Amino acid sequence: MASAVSILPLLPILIPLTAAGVILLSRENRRAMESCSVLASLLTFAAVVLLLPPVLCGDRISLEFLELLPGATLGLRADAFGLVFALTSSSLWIASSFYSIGYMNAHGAHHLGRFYAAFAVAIASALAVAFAANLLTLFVFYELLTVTTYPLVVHEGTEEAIRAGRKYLAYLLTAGVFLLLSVLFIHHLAGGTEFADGGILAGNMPDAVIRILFITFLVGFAKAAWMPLHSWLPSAMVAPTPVSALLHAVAVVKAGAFGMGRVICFVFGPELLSSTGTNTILLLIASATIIVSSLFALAQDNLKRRLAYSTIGQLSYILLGFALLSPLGMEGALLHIPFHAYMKITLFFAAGAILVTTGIENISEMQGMGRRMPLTMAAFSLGAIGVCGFPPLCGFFSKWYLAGGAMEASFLPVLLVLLTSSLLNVAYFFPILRIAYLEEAPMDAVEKVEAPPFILIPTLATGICALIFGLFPGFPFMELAMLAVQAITGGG
Amino acid sequence: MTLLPPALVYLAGASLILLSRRDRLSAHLAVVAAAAGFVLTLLLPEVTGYTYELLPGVQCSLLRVDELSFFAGRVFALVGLLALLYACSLRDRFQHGCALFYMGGALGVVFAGDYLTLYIFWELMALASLALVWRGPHQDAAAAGFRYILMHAAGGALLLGGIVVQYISTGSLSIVAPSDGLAFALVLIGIGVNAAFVPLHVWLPDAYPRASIFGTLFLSIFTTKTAIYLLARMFADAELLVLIGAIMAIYAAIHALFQSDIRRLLSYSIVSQLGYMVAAIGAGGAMGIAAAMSHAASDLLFKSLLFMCAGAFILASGGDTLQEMRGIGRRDPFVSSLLVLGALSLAGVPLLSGFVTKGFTLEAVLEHGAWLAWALLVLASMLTVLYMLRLLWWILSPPEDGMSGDLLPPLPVPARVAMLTHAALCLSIGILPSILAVALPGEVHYDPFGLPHLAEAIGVIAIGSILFHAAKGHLLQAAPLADIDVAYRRAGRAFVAFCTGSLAEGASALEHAFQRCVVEKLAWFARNPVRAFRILGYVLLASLARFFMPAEMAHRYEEDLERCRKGYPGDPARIWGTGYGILLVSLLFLMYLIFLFVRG
Repeated sequence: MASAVSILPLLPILIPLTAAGVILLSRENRRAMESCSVLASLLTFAAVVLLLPPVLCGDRISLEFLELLPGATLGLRADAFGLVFALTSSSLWIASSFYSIGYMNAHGAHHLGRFYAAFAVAIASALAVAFAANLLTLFVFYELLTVTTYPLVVHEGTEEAIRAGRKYLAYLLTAGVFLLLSVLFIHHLAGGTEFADGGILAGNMPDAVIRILFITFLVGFAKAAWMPLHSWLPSAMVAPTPVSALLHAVAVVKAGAFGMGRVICFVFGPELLSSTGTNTILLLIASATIIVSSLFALAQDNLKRRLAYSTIGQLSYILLGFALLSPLGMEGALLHIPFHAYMKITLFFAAGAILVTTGIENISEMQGMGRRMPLTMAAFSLGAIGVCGFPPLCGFFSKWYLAGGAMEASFLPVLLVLLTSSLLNVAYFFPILRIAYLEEAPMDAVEKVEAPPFILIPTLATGICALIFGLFPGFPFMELAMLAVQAITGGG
Repeated sequence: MTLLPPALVYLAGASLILLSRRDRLSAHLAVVAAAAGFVLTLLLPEVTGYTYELLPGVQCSLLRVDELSFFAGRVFALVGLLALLYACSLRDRFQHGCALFYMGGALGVVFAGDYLTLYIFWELMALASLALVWRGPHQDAAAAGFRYILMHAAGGALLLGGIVVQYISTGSLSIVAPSDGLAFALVLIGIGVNAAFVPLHVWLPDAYPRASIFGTLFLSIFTTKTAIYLLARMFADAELLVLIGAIMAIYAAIHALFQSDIRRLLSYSIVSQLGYMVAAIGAGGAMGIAAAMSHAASDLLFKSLLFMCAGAFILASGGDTLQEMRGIGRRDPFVSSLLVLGALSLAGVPLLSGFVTKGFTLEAVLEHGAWLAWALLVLASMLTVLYMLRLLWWILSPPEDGMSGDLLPPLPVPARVAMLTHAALCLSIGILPSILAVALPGEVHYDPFGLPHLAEAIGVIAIGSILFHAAKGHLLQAAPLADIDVAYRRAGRAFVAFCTGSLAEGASALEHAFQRCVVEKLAWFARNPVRAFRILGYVLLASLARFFMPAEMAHRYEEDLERCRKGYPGDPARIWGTGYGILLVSLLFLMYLIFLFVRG
C-alpha cells in the first residue's frame, strides 16, 4: 500500500473555510452568499472526488500541517474509510446548499451570513473529521463541529430554539470532556494517537482499563445519539430544515458514528475488543437503542420528531455494525453512513418542503398530501421505503450486510433485533404514506401546491440517488467499504 | 432476444405506463407488455443466464429455467395476460402499472437463480400488491392495506433472516432447502406468510376484498402461488407441510361457508385450495410436486374465472354481499353460466379441471400414507361443495319483488375473451388431462378417471349437495365467524397504545427526573462554582458539627451555611460560560483521578 504526501486532503477543508470567510465579508448580500455557498460545495465535492482514484488504487494520501506540542500534531490522511464519510458529506452539501436557498427564502430569511458561514465551517470540520489522521485532529474538529453548529441550531432565535441549543451544547460539550480525556489517555498508553489499521493499543493492559476507555469514548461520541444520550437530537429539530439535514444526514450525527467506528477499527482494533469482549457493551446499547427509538418514533405526531427518532435508531445500526467486529458487519456500518444519509436527507427535505409550502408539520394533518404535493411525496415515499429496508433502495443493502455481519460474528440476537427493527420501521413509516395518499384532504386545501424548484429538485435528486445506489450498489461506496475493511482486518 | 428475462419486460412496461400521462392508453400498453412477456416466457430455453454481480463477489442470476420454473412461469404469464385483458375497460394507469410490477415480481421470483434476486423480487411483489390494495375504493382499504404490509414485512424479514443465515453458514446463495435448522424454520415461515399458512393467513381474506375488482383479480393470482412454487422448489418432503395443508384446507373452508361478502368467500376458498397444494408438497416426491403445481395452475384458472364473474356482478349490483346480489345471475346468462362452470370446477365435478387436479393432490397425500390429512382434505372438499352451492343459490335464485329483472349490459369483448379462455382451459384440462400432464415437471403416472377417484369425487359431491339441502335454512343467512385476526388487531392496538401512552409518559417522567436531580443541580453549581464549593463544605461541616461539637458551635456553622445560601450565586457580573467551563474541567479532573485509580 503506497503512501503519498500531498496537499490534496487539505483542499476540501480549505475551500469551505475560505467560502465562510467570503460569506462573512459579503455584507449580507444574499445573491453573493448563495452563489458562494453553491460554488464552494461544488468545488469541495470535486476536491473530494480527486482523492477517489488514488484511494481506490489502494494509496493513502497524508499530510501533517501543524505541530501543536511536541508529539501532538494535527494531521490529515485520506483513506477508504474516511473517504466514505467525506464523499457523503461533500455530495450532500451540494444538495443542501441548493435547498437552503429555496428554504431560507421561502421561510423568511434573516441572519443569512451567519447561517451560510456556520454551515460552511461545519462542513469543513466534518471533512476534517473524516480525514483526521490521528485522534487529536479528530477531537479538535469534532469539537469545532459542535461549536459551529450551535448558531445553526438556535438560528430561529425563539425561546424554544435557545433552549434546544443549550441542551445541544450541554450534551455535546460535556461529552467532549470525555472524548478529550480518552484521547489523552490513549496518547499516554500508546505513546501517540496516530490511527493504524487494526489498532494501536497493545494487549498488555487490564481488561478494566480497556472497558472504561471504551465507555468514555462512547460517551465522548454522544453525537451518535445512542440512548440514553439522545434527547438533544429530537429537541434540535426546531432548527430550520437545512440544519436538520446537516445534523441528521450530512455531518453531525454521522461524525459521531464515524468517530466511534474510527476508534473501534483504528485505535482499539477489532482483535483487542473481541478478545476482551468489550464490544458486547456497544452491542447491547445499540440494540436497545434500535428497538426503543422505534417505539418512541411510533408515538410521535410531529413529522420531524418522528424522523429524528428514526435517525436515532438508524445511527445505532452503524454503531451495531462496528460493534459486531466482523468484516461484513463493518462493511455494513460503513455503507449505512452514505445510504442512510441519502435516504434521511430526502425525508427531511420533503418534510421541510411540506412545512414551507403548506405550514403543516404534524402527520395527522397530512391528509391528501399525496395529491397536493405529488413529487415531494414521491421522494418522501422513496426515502421511507428505503429506510424500511425494502429493495431496490439502498437501505436494503446495509440491512443485508449488517444481518450478514451478525451471523458472521454468531450474534443471533442481533439478527433478531435487525429484523424486528425493519418491521417497526414499516409500522411507523407506512402510516404516514397511508394518511398522505389515502385520506381525503380537508375541503379548504385541495389545490395542488408543489414546493419551489430550489426545494423540490434537491429533494427529488437525493431520493433518486438513494434508488440508484440501490440498483447499482457497487460503486463507489461498496468498493471503498471493502477496501477499508480489508485494510483493517489485514487483507483477509 | 429469447434470453431476455421476462420479469424485465414486465418491469419496463410498468415503468412506461406509470411515466406516461395517458390513462386511456395504459390498458393497451399493459396488454401488449403482458403479451410480449408471455411469448418470451414460452420461448425460453432451459438455461441459466443473466448472471450479474450485484454485490462485489456475489454472483446473481436473473434467469434459471428448469422444468419447474418453466411450468410456473408459463402459467403466471398466461393467467396474468388474461387478467390484464379482463382489466381492459379500466381507465387507471396506476393500477395497470402496479399490476405489471406485480407480475414482474412474480416472474422474477419464479426465474430467480439465487436467493438474493429472489428476495428483491419478493419484496417488489409485496410493495406492488400493497399499492393495489390501497387503490381500492373501500373506506377500510387503508387500514386493511396497512395490516397487509405489516404481515408481509414480517414475512419478508423472516425470509431475509433465513437467507442470511443460510448464506453465511454455507457461503452459497443457491435456492435449496436450508440444511441448518434455524434457516429452515425462518425461510419456511417467511414463505408461509405468503402461502397463507393458518394462522398467518389473516391478511388474505382481510385485504383481497378491499381492492378494486381488478386489483383483487391480480392479487388472487401471484402472491400465494409464487409461495407455493417456492415451497415445491425447496420444501418437498417436509413432513410438517402435510398437516399444515390439511388444517388450512379445512379451516378456511369452514370460514368460507359463512361469508356473505363474495370476494371474502372466494379469498377463504383460495386459502382452502392452497391447503391441498401445501399438503401435496409435504407428501413429496415427483408426484407431490406435480400434483401441487397442477392444482395451483387449475386453481388459478377457475379462481380467476370466479373472481372475474364476481367482479362483473359487483359492478352491476353495486354491492359486495351475496344478499345484495340475489338473483343477479338471471340477468346475465353469459357470466352466470361461466360462474357455474368455475364453481363446479372448484367443487371437483368430473370433466372439469378441479376434479382432475384436486384428485391428484388427494392421491399424492394418500400414497404418502397420511390418512388423517387425507380425511381432512376430503372433508374440506365436501365443505367446498357446500359453500359453492350456497354461492350459486344466492346468485341464481329468482330476484325478489321490486328488483330489476332487466338484462345487464354485456361485458367488453376483451373481458369476455379472457373469461371464455379460462372456461375453455378448465374444460379441456378436465376432459383431456394429458394437456396439463405433458407440461408438468417430472414423470408422473396418474389416471384421474380411475374408479376409486371417480367414486370419491361423486360421493363427496352427492353428500355435499344433500347436506346443503338439509341445512339450507341455517346456512343461507349465517353470519361470518370471527377469525384470528381479531386477536391480532387487539394486540396491535394495545401495542400502539403502550407506545403512545405509558412508554412515552415513562420516558418523559425519566427525563424530568434527570432534569431535576442532575441538570438543575449542575446548573446551580455552575452559576458560581467557588461559592457552590463553599456551600457544600458548610453543609458537610454543619452536619458533622451537629454530632461532634457543642450545640452553639454547630448552630454557628448552620448560620454561616444559611447566610451563604442566601447570598448565592453572589457576583451577578459573572458570565454563565465560566462556571460551566469550571464544571467541565472539574469533571475532567475527576475522571482523570478515577482513571489513575483504576489503572493502579
